[in-house]
Amino acid sequence: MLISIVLIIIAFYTLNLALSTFSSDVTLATLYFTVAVLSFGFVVLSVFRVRRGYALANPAPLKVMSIVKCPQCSFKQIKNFAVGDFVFKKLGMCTQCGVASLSITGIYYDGPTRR
Amino acid sequence: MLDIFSPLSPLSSIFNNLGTVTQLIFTLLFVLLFFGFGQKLQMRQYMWDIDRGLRRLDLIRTQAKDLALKTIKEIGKPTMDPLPQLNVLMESFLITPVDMDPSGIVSKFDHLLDVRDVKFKEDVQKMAPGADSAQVNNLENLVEASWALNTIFRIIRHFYLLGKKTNSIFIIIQLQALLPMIMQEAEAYLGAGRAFAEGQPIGDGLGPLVASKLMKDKAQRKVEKDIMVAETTMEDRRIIALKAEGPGGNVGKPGDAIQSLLQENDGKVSMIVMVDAALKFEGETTGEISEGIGAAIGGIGTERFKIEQEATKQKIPVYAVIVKESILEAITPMKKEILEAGDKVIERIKNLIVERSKPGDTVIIAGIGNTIGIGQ
Ligand SMILES: [Zn+2]
Repeated sequence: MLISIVLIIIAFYTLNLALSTFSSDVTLATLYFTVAVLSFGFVVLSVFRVRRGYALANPAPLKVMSIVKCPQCSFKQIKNFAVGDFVFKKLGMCTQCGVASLSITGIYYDGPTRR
Repeated sequence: MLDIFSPLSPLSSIFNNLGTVTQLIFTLLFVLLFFGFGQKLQMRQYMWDIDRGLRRLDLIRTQAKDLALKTIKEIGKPTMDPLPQLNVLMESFLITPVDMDPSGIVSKFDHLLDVRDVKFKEDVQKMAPGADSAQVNNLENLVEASWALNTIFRIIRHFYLLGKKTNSIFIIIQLQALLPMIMQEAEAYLGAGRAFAEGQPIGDGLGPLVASKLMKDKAQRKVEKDIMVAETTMEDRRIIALKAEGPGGNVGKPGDAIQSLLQENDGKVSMIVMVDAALKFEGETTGEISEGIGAAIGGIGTERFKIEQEATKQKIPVYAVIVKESILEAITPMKKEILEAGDKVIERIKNLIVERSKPGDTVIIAGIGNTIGIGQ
């Protein structure tokens, strides 16, 4: 807080200097002006510091897929993961060959590569 | 602009006339600001960072706890509100054994962890009477993830407030330096919580996945705590494969299982192959397989100790095949690369067995890791 007050004083003071020296010495005025802008900038930045970034970004459910395969024929299906699915869960009759050997052979997360 | 500042102009012209004095004061102010307050400014900035991280951690832990509560209510069908009980679990702790006299500390640790496990599971069972044993295991994992997040938050908050109170820049600097890693871990735990709530296999399940591929459709039996064992053959060798009992979230006690299997087959086992997921270094590819020597198993070290001890006693070589993944990938739903690495791991094991053993030998293959979402 103290720093901000000091900076504000400096900013006003140098701004004033800049304006008064503008007619006589442009280089010095520019220097003063720069200091004023920097001080002001810092104060503004610290006072109105954007408080962001702590809202969670991804509550969207992950896309998890289950691979269903039949070892007797070439039947293979990739479906969305449903609660209760697990690897090597028996799913019963195969729709293609009628043998009760259908099972989930893999479950994976299918999504963008993170990190 | 000029209009606003014109009343000040006379003042500045006085200063301006003083020339060098003005410059001196100005320089002094500058020096004071950047040398005197420099550290304070820096510290303030670090504290802002930590504060932001802390808010995020708070949000994450609340989310995980809400998820746990929701899942317990959904699956467990509790008769009364599980929240008070969950709160008690969230604050639970474990007092580690005295290590001044370290002899025998492994069995003490083992015992403590067993007690904790049983109590945790029973507490979860009580909160969720409607859940079956696999679901209780999943819920237990979920509550544990949420416990971990709660503990991380409490520790970070402690050091933040301590640093603030004592105005110690060193506490603040350390905290700020560690924060990115801690945040990454916290987010991984939240992802893990989601996977546990649904019962999805996680990256750490690579070991059990490989073992279950070997054990599928073979006669299975249960040994020790929550470990399933099945016998099969591979390249004319007798294979004893083992994994934690799925599909509930469980790691079992493979150390005990391997120990008793080795004692059962006294002197007949010619090699042990352990399959596990391992943390990769930054820059390495997920799903990369590498081979090594030694007991590949994480945790506090009790299981590894038992395997090493028995293997040393019988002079059995222990080989490790690991699949690399990040901490996030290890405890969030299994990525495709990791799933696909499973078949490659089996090929690698085959090569290893052919090279390192003779036909007719007995080989133990242990799939280490959390078997959530993976049956056998
Ligand atoms: Zn079929």
